[in-house]
Amino acid sequence: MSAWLSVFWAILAKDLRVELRSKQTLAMMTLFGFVLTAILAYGLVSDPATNRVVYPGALWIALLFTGALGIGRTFAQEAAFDAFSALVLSPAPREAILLAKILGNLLLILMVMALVAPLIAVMLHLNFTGEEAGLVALHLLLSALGFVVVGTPLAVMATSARFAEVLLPLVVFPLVSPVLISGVKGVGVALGTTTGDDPWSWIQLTLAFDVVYGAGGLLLFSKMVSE
Amino acid sequence: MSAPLTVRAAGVSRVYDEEYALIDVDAEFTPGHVTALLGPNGAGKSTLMGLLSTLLRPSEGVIYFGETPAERLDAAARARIGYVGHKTMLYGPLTARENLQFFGQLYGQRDPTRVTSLLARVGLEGDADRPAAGFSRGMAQRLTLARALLPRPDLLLLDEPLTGLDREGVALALDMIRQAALEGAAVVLVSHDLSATATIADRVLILKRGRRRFEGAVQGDLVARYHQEVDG
Amino acid sequence: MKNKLYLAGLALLSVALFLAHWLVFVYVPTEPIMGVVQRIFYFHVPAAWLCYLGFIITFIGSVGYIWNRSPRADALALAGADIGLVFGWIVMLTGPLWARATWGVWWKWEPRLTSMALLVLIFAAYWVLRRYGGGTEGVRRFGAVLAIFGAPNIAFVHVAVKKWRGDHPGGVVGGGLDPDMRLAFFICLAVLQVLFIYLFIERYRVIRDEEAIGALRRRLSRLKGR
Repeated sequence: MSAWLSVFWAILAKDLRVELRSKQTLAMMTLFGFVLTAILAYGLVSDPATNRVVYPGALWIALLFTGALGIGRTFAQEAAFDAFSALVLSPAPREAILLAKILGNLLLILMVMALVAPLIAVMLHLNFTGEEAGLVALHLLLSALGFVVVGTPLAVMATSARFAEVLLPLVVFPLVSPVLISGVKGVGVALGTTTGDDPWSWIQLTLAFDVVYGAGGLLLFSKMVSE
Repeated sequence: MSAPLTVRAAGVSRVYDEEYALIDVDAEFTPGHVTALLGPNGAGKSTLMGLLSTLLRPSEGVIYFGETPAERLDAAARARIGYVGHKTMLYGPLTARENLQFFGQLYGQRDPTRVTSLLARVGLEGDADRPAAGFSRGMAQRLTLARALLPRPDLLLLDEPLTGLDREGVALALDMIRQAALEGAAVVLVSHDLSATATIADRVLILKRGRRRFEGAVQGDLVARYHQEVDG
Repeated sequence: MKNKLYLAGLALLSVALFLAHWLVFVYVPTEPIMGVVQRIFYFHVPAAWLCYLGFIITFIGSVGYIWNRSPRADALALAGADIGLVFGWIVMLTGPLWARATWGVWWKWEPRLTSMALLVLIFAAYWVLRRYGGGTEGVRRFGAVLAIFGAPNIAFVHVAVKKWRGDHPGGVVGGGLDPDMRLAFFICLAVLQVLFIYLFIERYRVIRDEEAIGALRRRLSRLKGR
């Protein structure tokens, strides 16, 4: 178990170090997030009540698109000099590889969304109570988790296909639509713009999605990486 | 170093799309021997190396690691394979030291002096803390050789390991390969540098158009033998 | 002999398809409330079932392929997606026509509609991947994982939209259906089911034949020593 953990940390630390040193993915995602923010803001800005209604939709669009950019880049460093082959060839447990990649992607997306989410709120002149902001953050965290547990293993697979950069979003977006519905509606309930009883039931749904797809990916991953 | 490992290819073929890259090849790679894998372009050398590394699966036939077929190898058995491919399999933004440390962690390598001594061995101690992305091809090649040797593999697969190396680098690499074989590793070497290969190989496997042309001990002039099999 | 039997079967199927159309357009009475547009259902509902059936086959084939890399399982998966998708597009075209006439809108965010739309999108992505992604082993593996990931997704979408909208119309083929309508519906279902089986078997055969031709080509190149 401790060997397992040390491999997991080694891969995660390596990915973060590579990313922090080159900053290419983070820089691209952040900039892309800003561009999206601007488009969404001037496309949607309206009276205060409407702004509140459209906010969750805008936020989840930003999550999807910056996320797709992020997972597509995840394996760029691995593929550059074919280091992924050395990783697969090593005795590292495949589950540790996948989990480290998932967590790395999640951190990357959360870093970007931590900038983008408040920025969109500012652009749409919104004010939130502490509780509202907390619920938005929690929903965003769980939705981002759902996105990466689906997107990361598929991004690994996509490296073997032609037109990977087009195929990946095409494949991932429909698959994460439950998270999209659940996140947007849950935040709507939390902000009082969508009718519904309590935002926690939506959180449960996202959580169930995260668990099912996280477990599914882990079960299948060793069958995915090798011929 | 664990028990010696004999690797055997039994009737191995490999198909890509419409073409056979390798046809019905039998071969055996024994501990302590350096086998030169020779053949003209497109002979199937790299395909056979990929199959031996377990990164590729044979379309027909089986590769045995000792008594175990390749598809049933576990993680511990995978750890006994060292592989140098056409690409360096390194992380550009990481320094030479960090690259080796990372792969060491994957292999559960606990000895902290191992990385330092390997870096010194391949002549990179002065560049140990520079990112690998800035390395010349020759330096990257030295580093990738160190990466493959780090876990002290029992099967060492070297696909064009001399690429980009200067004369001194070639001598160093040959020395390290010879050393690995002396310590009991089964070494398979693919290289276009026939004369360099001839100095360390004691066995030879010649492929042409996916088929085995010759396998056996090196007797007499390897270069002459090669031309006889391939051109004759 | 086998060939003649096959042609006779095909002719029978064509006649049955004509009969189905005659039943739908001439024989059955017009539904008093929804009007003439209700006739869409004789094709729409069976097509929805056959779309699901195609994708169930794809799911099973994909599980099989991931398990043991059997080319047969992969051919099943691919054929299921191809034929399922044909019926899926029929559903997606006929549904909004009916919705516009009955509900006054082309589309409603309703669990059954939404999950069907997502199902078609996922398998359209599968189709694009298999058609344009390259014929390598890695792409087959990718497709199989996609199909396996797609299956539980439908359940999630269904639950999510149900939670969101609450309302959804009941089954279309209720107990109170006119006996003539019921007869027409089940005949249409049976005929389309046979059509599905026919198309599926033909598609599966073509895929397997393509593989066999590839194998023969390889044998040939092997004999020639590449």
